[in-house]
Amino acid sequence: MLKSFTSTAFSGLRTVSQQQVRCIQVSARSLNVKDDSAPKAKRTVVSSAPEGTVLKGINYMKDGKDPVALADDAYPEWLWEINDPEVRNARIADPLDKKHHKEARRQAIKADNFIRDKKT
Amino acid sequence: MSKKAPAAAASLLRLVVPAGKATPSPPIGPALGQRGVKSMDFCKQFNDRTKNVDAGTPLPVIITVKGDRTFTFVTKSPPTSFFLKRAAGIEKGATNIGKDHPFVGKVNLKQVYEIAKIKQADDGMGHLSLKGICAGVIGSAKSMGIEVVA
Repeated sequence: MLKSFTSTAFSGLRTVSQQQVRCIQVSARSLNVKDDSAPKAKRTVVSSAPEGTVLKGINYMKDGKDPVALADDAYPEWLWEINDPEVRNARIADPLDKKHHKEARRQAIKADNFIRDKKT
Repeated sequence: MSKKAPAAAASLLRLVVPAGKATPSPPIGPALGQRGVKSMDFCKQFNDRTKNVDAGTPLPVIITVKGDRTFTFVTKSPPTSFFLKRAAGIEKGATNIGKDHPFVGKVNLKQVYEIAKIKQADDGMGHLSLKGICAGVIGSAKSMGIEVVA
């Protein structure tokens, strides 16, 4: 039975249990809803350190040298998305993503705590 | 913190020691002395093990002191904040962070990637993906007031 995680009626309830989140993910997978077949958009991010730039401050061994930047394509794709707030927000907006539920849970806890603080 | 046989209870000690420069009384001496370890022994071994590291680089070290006062230690890679400050070219992290305060430095994603590669070699990171470690480095940068740019 899925409990609503926005409910504040149950004083002990803080989080959606992991089981419930997993149930949501499993059912989405079985429906095959996520569609990765569309071709991914070409990366628009261009690094501020072009190939050949010395990445200063990384080396800390006596006999080593600071690493040199490779071409942008030599780095994994996820690196260019990891700092992108749009990618993150898209995940939070997607109800099939774990991040969505974690963020919803977080906001529910904040709201709950706010209400509790007001009383004291 | 691991108790093996009742006779040899081990205690863990976590310190940050500058490479090649051990033995000052304040950080190391009392901490080891309390557990019955001669700080000179540790310092000699530590300095020997870290002789290939740039002098003065802060290195976290985990010392396991056994019940019979013998010790072993493991050295880890420098703290992420150390790397970030050097990569951004700043001495100290920000005093205050947030939308009302400007950034104090800047690093790019390729530097973050290289830092994460170094961190990945540590023992405690075996279960983390490189992507996860990068995310951690970015988190550290943000909490220090360092902007992460592409």
